Amino acid sequence: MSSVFRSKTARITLSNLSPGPNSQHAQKRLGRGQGSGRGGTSGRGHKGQKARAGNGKPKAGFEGGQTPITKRFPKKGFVNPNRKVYAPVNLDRIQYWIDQGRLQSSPENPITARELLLSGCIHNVHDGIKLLGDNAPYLKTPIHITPSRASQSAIKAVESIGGSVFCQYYNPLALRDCVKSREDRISAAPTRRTDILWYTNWHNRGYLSPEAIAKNPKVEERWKELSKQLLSFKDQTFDTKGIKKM
Amino acid sequence: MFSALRKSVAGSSQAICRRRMATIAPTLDQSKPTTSQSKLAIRKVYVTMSSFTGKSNSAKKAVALDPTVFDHPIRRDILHLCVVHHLDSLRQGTASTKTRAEVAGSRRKIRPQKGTGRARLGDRQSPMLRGGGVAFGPKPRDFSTKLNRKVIQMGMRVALTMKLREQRLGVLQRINWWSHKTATLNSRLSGLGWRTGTLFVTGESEVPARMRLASKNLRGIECRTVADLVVYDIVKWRRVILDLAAVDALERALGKGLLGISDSERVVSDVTHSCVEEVEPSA
Repeated sequence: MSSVFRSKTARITLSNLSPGPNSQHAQKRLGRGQGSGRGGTSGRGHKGQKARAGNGKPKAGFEGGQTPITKRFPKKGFVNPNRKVYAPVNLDRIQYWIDQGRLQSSPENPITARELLLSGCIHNVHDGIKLLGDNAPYLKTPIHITPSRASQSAIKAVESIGGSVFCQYYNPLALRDCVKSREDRISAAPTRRTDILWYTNWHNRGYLSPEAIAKNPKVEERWKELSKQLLSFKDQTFDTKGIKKM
Repeated sequence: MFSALRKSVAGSSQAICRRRMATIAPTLDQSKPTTSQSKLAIRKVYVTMSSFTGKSNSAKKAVALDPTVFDHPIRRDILHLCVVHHLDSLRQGTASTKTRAEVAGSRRKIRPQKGTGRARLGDRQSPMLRGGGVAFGPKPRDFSTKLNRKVIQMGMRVALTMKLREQRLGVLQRINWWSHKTATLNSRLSGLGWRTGTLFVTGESEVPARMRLASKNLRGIECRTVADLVVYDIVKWRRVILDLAAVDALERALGKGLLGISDSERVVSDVTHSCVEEVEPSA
């Protein structure tokens, strides 16, 4: 009986509790007498720049006059504030998740960033999801997915089985609303020229391309008008009279 | 937050997830018939049901307890962590001293730098001088620390197990008293040998009024709700008497959920059964 056997004979009270061995380390206290081993000069030796109060060096990273490591190499490049990092997800991984029953998709409920995150298929959505086509032959079930981007091989593999890919523009707020399943706000349309050109292009399966508007079962009314307006530049004519040809 | 959502997303699927993590104990699959190999050997621990009437005429009953809560391996270091964390949180932290900047006084240099033959001195508030400020003295600060929630939960389990093994844990049907008069409770507790060092813990939302009134003026007796119970209390008090509602609440909060003891299974009438040992809270 477990209650008969006792490992220690004394009762546990407030007076005989102690921390686990080696779980606590005594503090190093400088300048408290010779017996401590760190009295007197407190481990600094005698005089000199390093013995003085405040940091011993003129400044951080100073190497005594030798060219410091931070100055030996030239600066290079710039950091792009518009840089986007997409979380990659491959087709074989999605198929494995479907086989395990951790992911389901249908035209009415396509796979979004939320489903991928919560099922553990991806660990962080970053700036969006990009569908990639590694091990495409392993994909057997038709999937319906709305990533931020998709590679050409992934699009081809998904559509050859009968699935669908519609790449949707998610700005940081829209991505957050998608992941948190918040539907009271409108997701913003792309504003940058490069984004507009990308998402109105059926080659990329952009959600604002006319073919996507026609095919997508989850198309919003707003997108139809957006698609029309964003693509109106293609039919625009210019008054070329009086402009010299170069 | 996401871990709870993940479980609900995974649980709603039709297919059976075959992945198993080594750190999670296997759960019994209710749909399949259990063979002798797949049954987990979980044996409940028991404690004799106490009552305010003492060793009564009626037949003895035993209370079944969840072993994951009341039969946990003893970890003294976890108890130490929980007790120290609790005591740190109680510190008022109001010790305060004045630094040389805060001591009242002028910035005037007391005597000339050179020529006096004595040591050089600046203003009167220097820590070297009598009446000056304190160098690195205490300032009001918060001594509370963070302790992982699961460490505190383990501490509770260890403390309850420890009390049961030391025969200092009791279970009552209900912690209520028939009278508001302190003298009545005093004499009954003296008769039971529970007069000093007993902590009553009730699982109800508040301590029953008559018990509260009767015990309020008794030194060495305290009544608490299960929500206010901490590891420090369980270690400090000599005797811990729970009621059935408290046992339920503690098992719900601390148990691993493998053995859900229902209300009908809780009190066992057949005390002569071999697995039940007469364990009563001793004096």
